[in-house]
Amino acid sequence: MKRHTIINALTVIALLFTAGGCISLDEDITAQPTADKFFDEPDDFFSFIASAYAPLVTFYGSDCPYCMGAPAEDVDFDIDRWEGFKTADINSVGNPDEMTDMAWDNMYKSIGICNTLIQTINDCNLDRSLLRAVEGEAKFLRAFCYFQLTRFFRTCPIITEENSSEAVTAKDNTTEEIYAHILKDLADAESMLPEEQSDAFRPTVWAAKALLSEVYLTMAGYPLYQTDKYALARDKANEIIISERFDLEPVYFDLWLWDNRYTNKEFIFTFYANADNGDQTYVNCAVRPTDAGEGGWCDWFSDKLFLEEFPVGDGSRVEGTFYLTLLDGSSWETSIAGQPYVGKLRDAGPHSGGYSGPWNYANGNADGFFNQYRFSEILLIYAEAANMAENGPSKDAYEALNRVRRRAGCEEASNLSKDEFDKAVLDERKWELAFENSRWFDICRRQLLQEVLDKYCPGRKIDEHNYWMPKPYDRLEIWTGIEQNEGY
Amino acid sequence: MNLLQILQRLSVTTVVCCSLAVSVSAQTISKTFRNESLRTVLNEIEQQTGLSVICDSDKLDSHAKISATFEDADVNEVLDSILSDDFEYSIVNKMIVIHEKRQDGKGETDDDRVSGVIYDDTGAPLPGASVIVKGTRNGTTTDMDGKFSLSGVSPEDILEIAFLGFRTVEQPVGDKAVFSISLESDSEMLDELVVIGYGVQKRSDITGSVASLKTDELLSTPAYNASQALQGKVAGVMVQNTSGDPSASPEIRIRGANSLTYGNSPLVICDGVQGVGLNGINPNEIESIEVLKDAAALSVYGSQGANGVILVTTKKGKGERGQVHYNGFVTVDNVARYIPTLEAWEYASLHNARRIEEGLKPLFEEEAIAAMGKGTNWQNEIYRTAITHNHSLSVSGSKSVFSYYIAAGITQKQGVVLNTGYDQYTLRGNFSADVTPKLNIAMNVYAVYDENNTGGATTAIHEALLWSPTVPIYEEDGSYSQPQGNGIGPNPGSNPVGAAVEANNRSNSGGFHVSLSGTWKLWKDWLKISSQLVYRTSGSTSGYFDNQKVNNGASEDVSGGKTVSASNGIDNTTTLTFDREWGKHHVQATGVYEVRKSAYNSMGGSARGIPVNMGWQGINFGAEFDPPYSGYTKTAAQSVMGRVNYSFDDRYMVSGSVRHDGASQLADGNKFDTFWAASAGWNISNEKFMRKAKRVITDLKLRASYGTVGNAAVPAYSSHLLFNSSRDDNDNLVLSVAQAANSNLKWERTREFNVGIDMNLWDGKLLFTAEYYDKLTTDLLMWQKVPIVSNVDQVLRNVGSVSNKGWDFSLGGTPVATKNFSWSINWTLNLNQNKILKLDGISDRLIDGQLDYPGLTGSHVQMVGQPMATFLGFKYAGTWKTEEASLAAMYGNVPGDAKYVDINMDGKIDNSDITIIGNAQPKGIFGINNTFRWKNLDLNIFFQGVWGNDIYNINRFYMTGTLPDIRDHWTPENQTDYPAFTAKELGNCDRWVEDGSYLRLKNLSIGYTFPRKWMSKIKVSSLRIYASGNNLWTLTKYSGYDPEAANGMDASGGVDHAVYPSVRSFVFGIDLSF
Repeated sequence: MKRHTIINALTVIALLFTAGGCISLDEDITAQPTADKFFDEPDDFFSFIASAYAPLVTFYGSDCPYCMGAPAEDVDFDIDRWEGFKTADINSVGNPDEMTDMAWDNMYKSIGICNTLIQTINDCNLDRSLLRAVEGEAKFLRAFCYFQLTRFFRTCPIITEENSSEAVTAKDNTTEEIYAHILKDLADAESMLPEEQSDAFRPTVWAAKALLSEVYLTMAGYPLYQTDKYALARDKANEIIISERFDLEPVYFDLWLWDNRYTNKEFIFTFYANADNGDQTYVNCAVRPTDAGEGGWCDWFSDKLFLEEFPVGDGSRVEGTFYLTLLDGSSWETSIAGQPYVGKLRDAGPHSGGYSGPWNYANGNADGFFNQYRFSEILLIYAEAANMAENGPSKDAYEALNRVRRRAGCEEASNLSKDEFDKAVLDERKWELAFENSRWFDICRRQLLQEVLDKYCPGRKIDEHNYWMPKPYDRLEIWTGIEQNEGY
Repeated sequence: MNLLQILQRLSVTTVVCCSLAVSVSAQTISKTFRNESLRTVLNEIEQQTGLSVICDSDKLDSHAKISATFEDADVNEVLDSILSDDFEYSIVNKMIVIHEKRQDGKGETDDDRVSGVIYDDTGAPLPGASVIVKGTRNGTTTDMDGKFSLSGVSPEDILEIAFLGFRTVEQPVGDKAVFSISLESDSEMLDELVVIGYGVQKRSDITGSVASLKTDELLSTPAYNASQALQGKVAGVMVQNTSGDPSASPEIRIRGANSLTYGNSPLVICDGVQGVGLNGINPNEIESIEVLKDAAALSVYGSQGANGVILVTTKKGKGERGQVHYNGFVTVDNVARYIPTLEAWEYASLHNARRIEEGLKPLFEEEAIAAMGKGTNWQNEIYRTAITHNHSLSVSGSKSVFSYYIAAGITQKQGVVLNTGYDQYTLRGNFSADVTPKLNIAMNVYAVYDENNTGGATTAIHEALLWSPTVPIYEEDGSYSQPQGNGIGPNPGSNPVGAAVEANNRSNSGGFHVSLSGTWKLWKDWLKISSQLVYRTSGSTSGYFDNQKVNNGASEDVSGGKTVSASNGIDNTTTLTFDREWGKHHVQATGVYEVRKSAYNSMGGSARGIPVNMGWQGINFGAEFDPPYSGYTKTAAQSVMGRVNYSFDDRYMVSGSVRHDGASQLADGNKFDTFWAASAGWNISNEKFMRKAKRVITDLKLRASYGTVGNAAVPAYSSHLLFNSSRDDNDNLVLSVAQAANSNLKWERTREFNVGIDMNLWDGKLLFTAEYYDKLTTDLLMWQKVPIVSNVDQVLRNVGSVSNKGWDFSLGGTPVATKNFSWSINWTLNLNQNKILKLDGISDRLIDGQLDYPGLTGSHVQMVGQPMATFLGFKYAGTWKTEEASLAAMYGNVPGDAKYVDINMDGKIDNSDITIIGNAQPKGIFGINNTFRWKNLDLNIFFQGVWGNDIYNINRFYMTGTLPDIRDHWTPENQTDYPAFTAKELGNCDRWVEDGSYLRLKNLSIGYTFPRKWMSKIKVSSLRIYASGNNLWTLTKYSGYDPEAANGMDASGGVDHAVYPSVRSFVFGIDLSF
């Protein structure tokens, strides 16, 4: 072979070789969103805790919380539509996980984010005082989630930043332990949260007090029956009342209009969906009728009996609670469900069709908002707790109850015994807070289920397990330390 | 006979017929002859051109003396001028064949003349074969009809009949004067070398499981792309057309699915370029496809071999004379099966009846019903007859040291759903040059461009099944009708026609790769080094635009988005090959060093309120913007591989290979792993004791292998903790954890045992292969559900284990081959048993989201001990009948309600009565391909099918309003098993699970090859026209569109939810070479 041919050949081969050459298999993470890119300034902590809301928005924007409380009078839903779960229906079939998974997972998702944030705060070198508000926010949300978990499932494991790596084997904590943890977190939150927040979705110190007052009220009832907590519930509610930061919105109906979601004076703590960000919600469609040009899903609705019992007052609260005249002018009575529809959850922004437009399937981009604490509930907590703590209604207790009644155009309460007053307040809560995930928990903490079913579903016999959801069966396999509630 | 042979033969034919007109070669002659004999002149021509001269008889001596002067004269020109009219000549295979022109009635009586016909192994006459008296120059070639006639032959002579690609036959003359001789295709010669990973091996030496498919088998049915052409033709390879969408690519699985999470598609390597899409490869451009199935064959691909490897070798230029080949077909497609639905009047009557039973007022007036008629058949409105074109053209040839193959393809497919279509354009150039006798440089270039329009097909198909026939397409004002509520289906939904026509989902993408390779012989033919450098790039732009028309919505709802992505990579493979035989020993050793680098970039944006006329290109004119999306990943892989094959006396073979692989996407410390395989084979037929049986058992080989392969098909950065960002209502950044870290992420490993037997009976009449394999995949990459930690409820871990065991059988060959008739077969059968041995290590049941609909959640699962994709649910037992009222009451039911099997007999139907009601994995798949040839007609009948799988037909679950079954609903008078209108029912039960087995006449083709005699006149070497039908007939119990189509594969398989229906096609095509 000629010399130059060899050289040519070698050159070609060498070129081919070197082009590939040796390479490094270390991953180039410079452009990737890995942990080293974040948490070097306080803003990142606030951005991170914001992600803890998405699971909660998703949960309250779904059917689940409402249908899980379906034995309550306000909510009725068609078991044939969901094939799902009906707490008090002893013949219930299907897969209860369909609902309970969502409650369990979404609460723990939010808790997990709070835990990570608290851990990150503990580990970082930033000035802790700049992070007090966000730490308080995390503890508030964590307490909120455990409060829902224990009210739905009675017991669950307390996972915090300290034991999150052992969640797989974590054992159930007792209800007492869970409440103790909630109180501890809320005490921190109350001391850390500011009186005002620039973002409407973030909790203030008032939100912490509102949550605390309801936690105390619940602790005073079933299953703990720590009746000494009534006084604490009363005091926390009172702190909000006397601050005069909040007031009742004059027109009840206006509370549920999307346009007012940031501006009304009554909301203390609310979840806001942002569909553009993927937090779209569908419960606004689920409560709409399918017919009469509404285009809804009619997943669940209210109950005729509930509407019958509902005090009319000046009619304003009925109008703000129910949806009785459908888009085409027809009445709920001739509509497909034959039951009154829910008005409160209809308006989820322009992409939902609003309160008075047909729901638009293609949009499917509803920006719902889900109020958790508003001033009227604080007034009613005060009234109930004060009456119980003081063994009879005080003037302030009457005033708290009657402020709510007055707005609804209802007759003011007077001259009631302790028990009569207590019943009046519980009933008022039932009307005032209908479809706000409130009545079911009232029924539980005051053990009213048998009484309610006797009226709404005669012939149903219940036992203690009916007050609790089954823990999601599939999650029992992952959380190997926990146990199913008795009776399931 | 493969296409190569056909082409060669056809080219020969052309030369024979057109030699006077066609310039064959550039060989020239310069010489002055003065009164020379023809022999002398011919000798001179032989010397100057390098062509050898074969002549017919001694009669050449009688030829007139020649005087002529030539200066750089073409050989044809020279021959034309010197040969008298009594002679003719042809130039074949570097031979000049001269013979006397035949005169009628002359010759037959000559004592020394023999004549005859030469046939090929299919019984077709073989033109251009050389017939030579052995040891002499006396010879001729066969004519168009395969006939020859040769004088000057004595009884002691031996005729030597030869043709490229066929075994040379020596025929003693004896007393015979007329011969009829068949040549057998030299399968050993043509099939001798089989492409294996990083090299080639003699077929008889192969000890692993390698199935090889040549061009003619691929082209036996008209196909748009290589994956389609592969269906049913290789045992153990499942090709499933999961959708009739014109852009859909069939899914391919080799010996079952291993992975529950990532990647079950085989690696496709085209001419050494890894990761090519089979869908972009035109079957006409393929020389052969090899499917590597067992660990012995695959372990040389280590990390990437776990799902099998498909090696595609495209054609190279051959033959001095350039060849042009065209194949084109047009198809007419229709939806293979419509799902019958109720007509409007009946829908309305039944709806009224239902409402009355529910205590509601009827909605339709009797007069209105009477006037309704059939109403709108929504399926008719969204489906159409689609016309599709497919053209491919290639030019190839070689010239001294240089060869070229250039091909172009165009496919323009209309979808059967309105507003869907797919166009693909491909270009290929394969060039090779022997720069020096020791150095070869080759360059392959490939480009593909496609345009895809999926319109709104998915929505349209789903909605068309649900919409009431009582609803018109358009309102009176021309706008699309909307759901009517009151239970008149659906609620809510997009107008099917509007969804199909108005939605705009388009993408166009391109791919390009170029490879440059050099092979240098270092030491004779024994030691070679070769290096291949590949640059590959692909990019796509996709966009969607939803205008406001479908839902008659507001203009602020108009939304659109666009995503642009690009992928670039460079690969280098260097191979050192040693291949030498010493006596009975044959050693092949291969060493490989390989690196691959890839980078991927993507960017997207979307907006609402875009001006309607602008479409998705007008995102920046929108009113509300979603945050832009940007993605970037970079991966690298590095491998070293060594392999030694040793065979002794063509009887005993052993082989071993080791590959050390590294992949960047795995966790630090786990990036590298080693895979190995060992195998052995025994060619029993080459043993002395088998010599007597050789007449029947041409080949018999036993082989066995064991080895490991890996899979690391996880996305880049899978081991890292990753965050995600979004914006809240006030445009504040929201940071969330998107992925949990796993610092232990490592390779998924599959170990496989394989035994096989290969038999060749009666010299190719029957080729039989049977193989048993046992694959076990461990360290399976799975998303392990974990208690939620920071928003993440699953972590990617190596936890699961899946087993696939089974048999591959294939039967091929040409059982019947006579002069006019032949029958060739390629039958395949795979029996696979897929079983999940371990899931995420926590639970023995994982819910798959495939049936995540209200009432159905948890019904599509993975279960330990079961094959992938198990269906769970209640067992449906019809309805409660009136006489069972008291028993029904015990279950809380009334007559007319749905009845379910009380599995545990506890007197109630609850979760504990949920049981396995189906499974998506087929037990067996088969293909039966038959080609019949009768004279110039050919017929291909190809059946294909699967059995033993179930399909969850979720369409039927939704279509309770529109399916005619509802006519037969339970009433007290008509106690059927279809629940009453007011029945209590549970959604999830085996009522919706159907047997997915089918036997399908996948293809029936009839072709006619025009006689060469006619074609030669128009200078065409071959012309075949064909008509074909796809999906003509299906035997199945399945009630949906198509048992083959499904929404998912493997772990998520077996669910039919508004799948793009498959089509029945009529194909008309033409195949032309000149």
